[in-house]
Amino acid sequence: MDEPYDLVIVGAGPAGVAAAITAARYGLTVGLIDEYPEPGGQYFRPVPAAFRQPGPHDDDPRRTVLEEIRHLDVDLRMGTAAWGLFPERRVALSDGGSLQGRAVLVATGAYERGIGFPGWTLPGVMSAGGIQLLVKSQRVLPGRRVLLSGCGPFLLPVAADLLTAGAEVVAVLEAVPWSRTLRFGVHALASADRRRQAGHYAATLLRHRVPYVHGASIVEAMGEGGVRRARWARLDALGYPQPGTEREAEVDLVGIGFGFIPAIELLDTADAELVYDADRGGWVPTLTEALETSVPGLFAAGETAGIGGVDLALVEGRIVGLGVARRLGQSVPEEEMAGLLAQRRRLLAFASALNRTFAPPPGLTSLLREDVTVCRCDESTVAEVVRVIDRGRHHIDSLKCEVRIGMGSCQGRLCAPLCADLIVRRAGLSREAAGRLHLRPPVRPVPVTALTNMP
Amino acid sequence: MAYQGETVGAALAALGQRAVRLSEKYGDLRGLFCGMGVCQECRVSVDGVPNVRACMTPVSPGMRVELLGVEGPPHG
Amino acid sequence: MTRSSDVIILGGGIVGAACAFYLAREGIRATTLEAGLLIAGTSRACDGLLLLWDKVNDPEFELARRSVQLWRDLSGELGDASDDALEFTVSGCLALAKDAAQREAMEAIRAKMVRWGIPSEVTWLEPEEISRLEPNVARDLAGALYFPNDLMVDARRATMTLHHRAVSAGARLLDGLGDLRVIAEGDAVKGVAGPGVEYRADCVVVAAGAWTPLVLKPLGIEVGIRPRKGHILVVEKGPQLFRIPLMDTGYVATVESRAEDLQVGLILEGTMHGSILVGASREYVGYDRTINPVAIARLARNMVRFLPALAQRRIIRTYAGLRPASDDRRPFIGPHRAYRGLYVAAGHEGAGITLSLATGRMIADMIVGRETFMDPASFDPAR
Repeated sequence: MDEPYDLVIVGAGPAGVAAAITAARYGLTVGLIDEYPEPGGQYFRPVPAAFRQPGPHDDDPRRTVLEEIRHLDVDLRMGTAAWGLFPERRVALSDGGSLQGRAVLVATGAYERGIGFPGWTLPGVMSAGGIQLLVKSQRVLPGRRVLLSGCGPFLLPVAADLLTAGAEVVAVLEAVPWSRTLRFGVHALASADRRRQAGHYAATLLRHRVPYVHGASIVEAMGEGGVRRARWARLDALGYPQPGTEREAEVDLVGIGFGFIPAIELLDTADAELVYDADRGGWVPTLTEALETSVPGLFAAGETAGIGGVDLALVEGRIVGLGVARRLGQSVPEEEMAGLLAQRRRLLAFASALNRTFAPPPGLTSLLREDVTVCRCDESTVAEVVRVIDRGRHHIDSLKCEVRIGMGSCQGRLCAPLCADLIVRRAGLSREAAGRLHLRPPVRPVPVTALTNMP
Repeated sequence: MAYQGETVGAALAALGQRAVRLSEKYGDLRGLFCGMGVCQECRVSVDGVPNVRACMTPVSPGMRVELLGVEGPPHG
Repeated sequence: MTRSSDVIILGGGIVGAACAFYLAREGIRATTLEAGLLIAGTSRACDGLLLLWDKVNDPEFELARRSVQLWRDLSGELGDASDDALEFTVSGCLALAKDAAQREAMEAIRAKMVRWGIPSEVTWLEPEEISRLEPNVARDLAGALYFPNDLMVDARRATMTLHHRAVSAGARLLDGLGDLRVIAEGDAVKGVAGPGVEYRADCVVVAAGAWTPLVLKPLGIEVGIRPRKGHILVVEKGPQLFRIPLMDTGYVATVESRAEDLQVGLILEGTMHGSILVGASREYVGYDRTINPVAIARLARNMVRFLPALAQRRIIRTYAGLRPASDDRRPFIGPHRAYRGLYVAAGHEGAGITLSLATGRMIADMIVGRETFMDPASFDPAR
């Protein structure tokens, strides 16, 4: 049996990298696991060398952490997926091996929350983040005429990237009303960095005359073989589309981005306590000040701990690195930890306010027309799900026994939020009461060889 | 014709090929959705192996990519 | 709050559902109570093959024979709806032998089928004949037995369908009730209670699967049921690799085995949705349902041994369930002499889905006072 690492980190995004650097600087042995070939995660998504060009995001000062980690003694396990967490803090890897840690940090980030609407499964309808990845790091335009629809300021950099790459953005539809963006903007623009960013986006959208429409959402995507037209409408105060306000446009690409969901699956398999917190993106782990979950030695940081952005992720990674170092006997200056905790409190408040302001309005659930696909993997429809809910199955885990949801390749990541919304609507329960899918390993599809190659 | 480090998904997008598979039950065309390997929508067949995520797989010389459930043009 | 009913069924798995179903046919509107959220127990964690050849003793076989006929009847009744309501198919089953020992087991199974009077239900295949039926199966096997008429359902859908049919006929179904206990007064049962609720009836059927001993213990009753954990892997859908569900002839030995440690047999079942269910592991580890990495690794290796092309696939899910294993490999079905009105219907090990309908039929017959289709003495809960 191998000697355990002091700290095994799953996820080499900002939080994971920050934790690795901090722990390594204190002499801890660190293993860092990520599915991508290089560290960076979704925020610092690397561009392949063959088509790297300087761009507006490349001079982000936060990128220095990627350089820093190369010079430290961290065991980088890139191109490997962690699929399970077993006793005692043993992380199972897709090559059949495993890493064991005295402490394990799960910093697996988040994934985008979609909404369902007629036509959402058409080729050419993508998550806003997925579009951004193709444009920014793969330097390819997946479409020429784009409609973006969602909630929250993340839509703006995506629009800017598309415009810079030469696409036409027909409109950016923000589901919450103007007053929200205005109120939040005043709060956010206290920071010089954010003022610069906001100015850049405003200028780009203006220059290309892209309407930034508030209180609106896509309601349908149409086309044969792929999206060719999109219809949108104004929303009322609760988020219901208002009849008579529909407009249509020809598009070949639609980006939807209604927030992010923390990727807590590994924590769930270890039975870490999870609570539903809408301001933090949904189900999140309960954490001590040191960011330890209810399972001793198991930590969470970054978007996994709750949606909060890159700066919060970097701070949380450092908090975990320091905390584990201290626990393993290293002398950690009290002021350093205190400073980080104070930063965390500030950033957390900002993040919660942001998430609250741009929470998807409940009326969007009405877009889930009877014939809309809920489970993309097994192609179950809204009608099929609603029939089961109306028969009295009010917990998402019970739905699985009567209709195919949450049993396909995506393991419910796409359909579970929609099913929960439907339970809330039809049964009048809270999101919390509607429950969540309890995942067991593997937390992602793994090659059979991941199991057959286990020692 | 693709670049070193380019993903199969990006290469198909560059060719204007938005659909990468047919859904098993209703035969609907599906394409990339999340772009980060989570949604499993972009599954294609690579060198005869099914269910390979196009968005996560770099292209390599001579690679044979087929749309899942459909006969597609070889790509390499 | 107290509610009253003629019959209460404690346990909402497939056995409880079958009891409710057949009682409803007798005009008895039972109340089924489930502690967890449907489906909470083993019925949500199993495969769906309905087999005769893997039964390990004569009474179990008799029960299975009747039960399989009842499944056919039920499917016939449902007609076109049977596809959706049960995912019922006449899938057949192919039991493979990988070595000399498993080939010997082929002999034993065939002899058993002859003794049971169903020799036509099995076809002996030499190694070279296997690939004609299933070309992707490993080419170095020692032989196989083909059972053309074996059936398959989806366990969860079947459980819920039985519940729905019972409810349509007037039965009641309540779940999420918390831990349930039997109320007894003197030597009679009076109902079932949960946190904050009480349900009164003079007849209680305990169909709590692996948890039956925990329910009966406060009544002073010991019953020879132990939880026997099993794992299932789910392989992602893709190009079809086989048509007929595949097992190995060594499977029966794993069922019969008294060993405490991990036993692995082969089950490969393609579902109607294209995914493949892979079993079957057996171990005694109490009521622990967490995934054992050693067990799932062995299941994966075993499946690749018999169907090498599976090595190129991905596993998308695993789950674990607790078979209610009976000490003498016979379930417990019938009235318990320690209390008036108390019935037990549990202990079917890995054959719960198969045996559920005959169990429900038998319980219903007993409750209405009709002669049962076979002598129930072998299943006496107080034996």
